[in-house]
Amino acid sequence: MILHHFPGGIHPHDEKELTAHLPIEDAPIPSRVFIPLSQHIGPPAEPIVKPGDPVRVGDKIAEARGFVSANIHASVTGTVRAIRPYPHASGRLAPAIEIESEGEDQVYVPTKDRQDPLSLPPQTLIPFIREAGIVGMGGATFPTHVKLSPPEDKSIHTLIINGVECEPYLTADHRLMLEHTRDIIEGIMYIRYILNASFSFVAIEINKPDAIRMMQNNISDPHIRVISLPKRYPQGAEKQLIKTILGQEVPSGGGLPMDVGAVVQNVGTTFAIYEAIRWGKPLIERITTVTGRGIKTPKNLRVRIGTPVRDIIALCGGWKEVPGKLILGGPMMGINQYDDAVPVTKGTSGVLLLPREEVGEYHPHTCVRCGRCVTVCPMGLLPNFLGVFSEHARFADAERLHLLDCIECGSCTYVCPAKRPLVQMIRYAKGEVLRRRKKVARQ
Amino acid sequence: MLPELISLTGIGFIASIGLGIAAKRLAIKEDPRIEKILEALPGANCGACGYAGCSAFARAVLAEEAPVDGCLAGGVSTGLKVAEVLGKKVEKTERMVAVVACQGTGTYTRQRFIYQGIDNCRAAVNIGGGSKACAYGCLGLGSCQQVCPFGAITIKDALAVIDTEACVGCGICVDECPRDIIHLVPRKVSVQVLCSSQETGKNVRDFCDIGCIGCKRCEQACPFNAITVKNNLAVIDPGKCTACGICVDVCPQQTLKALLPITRQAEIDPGKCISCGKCKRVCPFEAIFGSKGAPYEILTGKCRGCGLCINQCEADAITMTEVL
Amino acid sequence: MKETLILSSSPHIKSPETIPSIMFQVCLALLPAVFVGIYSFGARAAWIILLSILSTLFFEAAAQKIMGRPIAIRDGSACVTAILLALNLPPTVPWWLVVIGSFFAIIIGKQIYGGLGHNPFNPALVGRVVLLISFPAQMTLWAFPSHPLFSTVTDTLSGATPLGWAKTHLITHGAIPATLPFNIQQLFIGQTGGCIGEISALALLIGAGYLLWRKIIPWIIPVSFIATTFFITGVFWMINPHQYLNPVYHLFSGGLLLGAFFMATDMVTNPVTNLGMLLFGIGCGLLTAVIRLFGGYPEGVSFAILLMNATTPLLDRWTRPRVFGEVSNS
Repeated sequence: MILHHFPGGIHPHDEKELTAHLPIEDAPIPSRVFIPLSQHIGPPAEPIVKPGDPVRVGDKIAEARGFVSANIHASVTGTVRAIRPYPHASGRLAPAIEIESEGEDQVYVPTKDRQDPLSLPPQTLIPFIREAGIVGMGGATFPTHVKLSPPEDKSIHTLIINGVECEPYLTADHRLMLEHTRDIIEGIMYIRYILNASFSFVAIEINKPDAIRMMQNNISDPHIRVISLPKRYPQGAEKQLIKTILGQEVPSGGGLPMDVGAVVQNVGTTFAIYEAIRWGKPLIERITTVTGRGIKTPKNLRVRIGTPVRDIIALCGGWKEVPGKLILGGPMMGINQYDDAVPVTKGTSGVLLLPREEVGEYHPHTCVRCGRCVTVCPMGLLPNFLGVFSEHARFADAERLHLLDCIECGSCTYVCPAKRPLVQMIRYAKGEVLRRRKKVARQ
Repeated sequence: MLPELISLTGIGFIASIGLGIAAKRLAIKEDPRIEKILEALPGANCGACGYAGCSAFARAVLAEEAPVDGCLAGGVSTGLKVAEVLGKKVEKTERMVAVVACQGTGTYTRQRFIYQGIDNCRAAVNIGGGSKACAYGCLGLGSCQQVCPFGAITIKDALAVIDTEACVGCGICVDECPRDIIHLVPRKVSVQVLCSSQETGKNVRDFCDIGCIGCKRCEQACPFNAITVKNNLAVIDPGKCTACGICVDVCPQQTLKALLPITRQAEIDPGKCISCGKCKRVCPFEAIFGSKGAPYEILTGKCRGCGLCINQCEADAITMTEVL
Repeated sequence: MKETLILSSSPHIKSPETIPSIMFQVCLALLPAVFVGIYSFGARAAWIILLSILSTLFFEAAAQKIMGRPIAIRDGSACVTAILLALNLPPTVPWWLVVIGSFFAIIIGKQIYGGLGHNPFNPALVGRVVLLISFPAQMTLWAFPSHPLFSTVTDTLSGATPLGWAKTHLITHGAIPATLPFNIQQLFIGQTGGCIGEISALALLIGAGYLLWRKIIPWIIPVSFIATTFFITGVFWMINPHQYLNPVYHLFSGGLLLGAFFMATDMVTNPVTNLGMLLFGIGCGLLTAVIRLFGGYPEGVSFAILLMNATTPLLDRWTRPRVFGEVSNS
């Protein structure tokens, strides 16, 4: 089929060879888990347990607050020890439920066995997803039941399953597609059914030929097609993915995929949806790639939500070299951490350890107008000017140059020879623009 | 030579007449008071008043949207001049200054990681929550310094320091600080708690040598109940504080500081003094001497202007004077 | 955590390209032309290049020190300016001219604006044009190569550049003769006279090819620049071959290749958008052709590029690319 082109993009070395061949390993049950109440877009969940309560793996321990929010479940069997501020991936402390794991029966036993979910009315499937607390597991953590409930006037004709995994180093989705192929395909059928989408595409980057073959061989439904896409970052970004496959651009300035009749779902989320609808299993664990040349033994792990990153690093042999950066997520958009007590959450697709020698010094230069950032921006922006405006507090000028359309993919900062921290400058400018808007609204 | 001289001079002459006519004919009819107000203003267009510039402020004052003494850069004298133009009266307003409630320099605190990024506190606070070990403390990257229109803020050893003389109390830095640790306080309340941490004392000691540990010694020492410890942090009630400075003396962490020299002094009127000695007994600073039979006297070097003696005096013989 | 980690905003990996690496590669790409220049014109050319480098480094360091900025001569940009300036000079220039040129290039062309990234005009061209206008005699005193590349012929030309020769001949004789004292092959290899760096089209193309392959320079600017010049000079040549020189001669002589590949592509002074770069190149080509064909100077590349540098901010503003998802309001 004809693939369309999105502007820009970069080609960093994908580093997948560190972990792409490693089958998923089950991480041992941690002695303590710290499950944050906020692992999703929207208000934090409200706890429904208190210290001292016994919990079983899979029990709901916090209730979603409002529609755009998600439930939280216990990922281990044990006793609630505290509900207190705890290190969070955002760098600040945030309330988390601390559970001490006790007992042998840590395996989740399914509470349901729905043999034929497609025989139920499609609207009845959404509450199963909501109950299970499923959020976008590609990293965005948007509550899935909201995404799958578009307003009446937005009809969805295409479902795109995002198996692109364009971030370097990460191979969690890759292994998932190889090892749980049928479950994912089943999940795709459920989502298609819920949305009543005529077509479904599974988008996989061409650097995963075994996953492409595996998915293709197991799909019998003619309405689901596997598409292999050329390797380019950020091919897996929602807007760029839709452009490539459908040739349509999500409108700038607040547009959403449903505005062009599409919904994009990550393969990890699709797998979780399958487990929730078929077996009633809530989101209590996920696949995370522990990688980087800073870790002794890279692995693809199935970890329980709330496991401290410290435990995972120890499990993989610890730091191999002088520590440089600890990142949750991928190297392009992941969040830097300083405290390895931080827990794994629903959106943690990777734990990346970069040795000190791979982290450069910080000596940014003035912009030399080389234009490389303009060439690579997948949104067609002018990052060099956005950076200079941010530096000089010219926020109105930046807004006029579509500052708010930036998806913060990092391509501009990656190529900049002056080593300017463009994404940080753009993020700062965005914050100031929104702050000024609020001030004006108040007056 | 001559023709060129004449023609150029002639052109210049005609042009200047033309401009003069245009200036008169095309002038926008404006309230003449705006011009007078603008003359009274410093003309720095600093924005401290909250308006886009001096003209915008002048218009707002005329439209009665802005207070007559709203120009903080010009201070009291400008307020009086503007009031004069409008024929209004100015109430004497409280002069405010900004204070950074933190003393966490690099010497007293630690960094919990190496920060690589732009020198802007509002941006840096989003990276790992800020690199200073104290989650409440000043980041010291200078966002406040950059926005201060009067150059009253400097960064010394990773800490923002405000020059109280140069500060006019405009409040722009208060808005800018991402940790919200800059506060506007009345100038005369000169004792401040220079810490914002709500951590327990044990935790504070881990990351700062000069932070408030919530020991409550200040609370116990204050004769006016003006200082209390809330959420592990000392808080001064400006309505009750007399700036005597006892709390500053007893604080083990040097967190409390007197920002301005003591300005008030007690004075005993020898004609009214009945030599009862109550003032001498109650004075915490041993600043009153005397004995029965003769009027008591204040040792001005030791008097802190706290006013306890005034409360005690049965003969109303003691008054407080401003020394400054 | 015992060791202190480093934290920054995303992304956490960066491409290895730096400003010094770009400048170094530009210098590398200029080496073939430098080599041909030194080989052809002898030690004198080598001294000019060396003096240019030393004086630009000196002026840049001195300016940065006086202005209180960190000394940054290690970023290599002054070196690139030095080599380009030297390559734009005739091999006969006196030493003081080189120093004056460096001064104007670095101080007036770059440092007074705030240093690298702030200058609106190409520094090497600023230096060259100042010299051209102030010292026209020294700047047009040509010499024939003492060791022309791959050739032993030494008596064909007085040393004037082909374009200069053609223009003078046009003025004195009213027309360009059918047979010229130089041929295309000589121009291409570098067996004719001219500035130190512009005599060999081959050497320049080798360097340019390297920069295009490594994506150091955008192809849009040199291609549109050269194509436009070729087209316009070609049209006029077709109209009247006796008044106008064959466009292929225009292509390979003078500073067109040096200007189009190495000077118009100076990243600080050209637009950042694709459409902007196209218009920039076309404008340079147009002005070059007009000055060469109708102007008093035989060579127009330097002026053309400087004039287009002045339009760069405007081009940037007018050619903002369409934002992804932008719905244009008609």
